[in-house]
Amino acid sequence: MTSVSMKERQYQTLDLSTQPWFQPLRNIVGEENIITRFSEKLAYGRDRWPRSNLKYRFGKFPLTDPYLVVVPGTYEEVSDLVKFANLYKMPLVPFGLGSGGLGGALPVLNGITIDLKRLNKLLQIDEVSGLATVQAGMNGALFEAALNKRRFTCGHFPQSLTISSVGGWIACRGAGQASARYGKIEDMVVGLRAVLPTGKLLEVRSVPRRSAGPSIKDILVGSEGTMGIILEGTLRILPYPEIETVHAIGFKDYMTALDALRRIMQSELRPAVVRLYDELESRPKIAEYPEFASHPCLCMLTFAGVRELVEVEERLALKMCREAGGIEGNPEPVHKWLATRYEALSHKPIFQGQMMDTVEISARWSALPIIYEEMRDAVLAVDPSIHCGAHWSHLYTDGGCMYLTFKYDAPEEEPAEVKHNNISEAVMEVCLKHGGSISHHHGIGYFRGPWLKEELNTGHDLLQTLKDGIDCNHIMNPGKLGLK
Amino acid sequence: MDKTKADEIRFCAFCPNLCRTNYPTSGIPQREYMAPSALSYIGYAVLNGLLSYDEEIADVLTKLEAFDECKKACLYGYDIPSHLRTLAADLKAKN
Repeated sequence: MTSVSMKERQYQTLDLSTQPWFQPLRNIVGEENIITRFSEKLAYGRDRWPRSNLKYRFGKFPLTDPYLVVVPGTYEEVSDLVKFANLYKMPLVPFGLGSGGLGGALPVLNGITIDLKRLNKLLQIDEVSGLATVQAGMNGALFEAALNKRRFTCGHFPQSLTISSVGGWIACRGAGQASARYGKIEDMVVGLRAVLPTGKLLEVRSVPRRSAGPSIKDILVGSEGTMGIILEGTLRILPYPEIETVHAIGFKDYMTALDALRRIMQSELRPAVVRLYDELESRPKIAEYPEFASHPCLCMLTFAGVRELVEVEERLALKMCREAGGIEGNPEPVHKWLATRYEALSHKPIFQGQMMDTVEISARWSALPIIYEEMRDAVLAVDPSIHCGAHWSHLYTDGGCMYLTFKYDAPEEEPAEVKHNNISEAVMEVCLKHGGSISHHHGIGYFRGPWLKEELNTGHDLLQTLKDGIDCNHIMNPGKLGLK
Repeated sequence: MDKTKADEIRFCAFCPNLCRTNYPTSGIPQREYMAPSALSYIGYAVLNGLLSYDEEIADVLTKLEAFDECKKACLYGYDIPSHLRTLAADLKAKN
């Protein structure tokens, strides 16, 4: 990957007066909503992909900078922008709040970035049906707060809640920390509006379910801007839970704990939060609580909803934990986690000159332990001094998500990048070898494209064929999901 | 600029805008370059010689309206807009 230096770009002036497309573009959004100055475009050259921040530390773009940025204020403007981009063969990159972790909102080619922040309204709450219609650029935490005022919740609580947009949740096919109870974003979104790569507006009307051909909605959910620009979504919402209870359980080892959690999920119980940490990740969380010394793998369980149901679910789940040798300890580690659950921590290692990244794969229960062991071995084989821990969350009857975190000193740019490539290659290979999915909820973005081809095999060809058909000029976020 | 302030600017430059919920949703341009970490990054880049100080940089460093709101929600209690104003004044005086 070649790097573009910021200093190199800083004085490459953009003479708009000579551009035949400038007047038509100005007619669409107005000159005040076109960003051409380098110092302002700079914010759109990175997202929260760790490689973005590594490059920015050294004054370089991870890929390139956008040619220009536009900030539309209506759906019609977005539609006209897409038509404009087709006419002038300019690639488009949708940009919400820039919290993606894999470079999905970065320009691969020097095109137009569309900032969707002006589309930030909560349009409707249908309390009877339990539905909320919200525009793509709305901040996730503000959306949840608005629902809470009406005694509802969306139930979607990603760590990025305060820094991500609802459109980003949908585009990346995200999942929140309480997904075991409330489902993932694809379970919540029942309708949407989007602009297709032709510029046509698409409406998927919100209905509880349909048997009316393949799901059009799911062409957009998880498409990361490659199949269109999501404008709004209609999401299922639920009454705010009557009670929420929390429990901290210690297990002797992660295998015993996984067995207990599998039993809980296969018994059709639905805790809100289920998180199990390996010994390394548990250590700082339980250090102050001696009862966990002989049971060093921490499991957090929370239950939420109607009181009677919560009481039954927690009683049965805790019984299963005890039967597997788990011991219930001071719940303070869970309270501490709840208090800081939205504090995305990527900046702290960067500040200390380190590189940190996470890999959140999913796999069936029978494959989760071997994937954990082999992934850790693979990371430590790259460099035994790397900090490498894991937790399991987002559990299902048939398997779950394993979330690996690795961190290492990165005083220099190039060795840090090489190491990051080597680790990523090694862990993705382990995941694919054991039949897992390379992404449970962060998406694919730019970085994971090559591995997605392997995971989806001919399914990836199908996606490309679909994209070729609806995006014949390849203007919609090219280079993401490994697509043209 | 003293090291503590420069360090706080650097910290903020790579923070994922954890204060973003305080960014006003109307009355202020909805632009990524007005988000706290975007402006802090400009400060960091100029302080570290990654970008050259010029009129354009000077101008963007005045766009602190949204940042002033966001700082009220800074988890670390930093007042980065104040640091950036100091930096901008220093740079202007030097240039």
